[in-house]
Amino acid sequence: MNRMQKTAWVGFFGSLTSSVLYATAFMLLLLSPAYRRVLCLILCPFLAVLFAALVWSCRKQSPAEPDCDERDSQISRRAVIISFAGLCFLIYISDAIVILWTGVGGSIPTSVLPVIHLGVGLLTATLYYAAMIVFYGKGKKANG
Amino acid sequence: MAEKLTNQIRRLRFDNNEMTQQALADKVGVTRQTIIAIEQGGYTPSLVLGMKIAWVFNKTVEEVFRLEC
Repeated sequence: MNRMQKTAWVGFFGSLTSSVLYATAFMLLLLSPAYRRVLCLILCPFLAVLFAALVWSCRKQSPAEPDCDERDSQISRRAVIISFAGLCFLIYISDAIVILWTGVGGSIPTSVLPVIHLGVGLLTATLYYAAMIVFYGKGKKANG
Repeated sequence: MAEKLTNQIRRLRFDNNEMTQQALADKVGVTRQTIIAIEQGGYTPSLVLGMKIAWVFNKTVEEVFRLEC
């Protein structure tokens, strides 16, 4: 795997795990603020694993390997287009849910909107890295 | 009609002292995965990269790449 592939895998699992932790944290804090310490205990090992994975993803196959070549750029551009489409879809869905939930004249607390946006952002990042992994996977196995 | 770009990179590597994919990648400034994708026809390189690969083998672009209709 080259650096971009490794970054895509780390980013995918990092953003996916973050999304799950984020949703769990939101639900737990809704139930009781006393869960804050439990969340910290979960978050610390996660950050340590994420840091180790980032260090691993920075390792090069050879000293002459470029950080990003023309194929990597092409794959990244295509992944950005897909994740942008996903972002538009997720914003539309989240807004539709809020409107359906509260009604046309309803309102939500100001603290909820950033929470929704952060969730959409995490899911968009997950989609971006997943698209990159799929595009890299379209190449066949190494044999030389 | 579908056109397909074929290449002789694999054969040329072996003719050049069994050059590895990594060595070729380092010479033309791309990653090994890009060389693998080009060899297997999964990626069409840019003209610049195609010329760089041809220069490594001291060949013309037409000797390395061929467009089949």
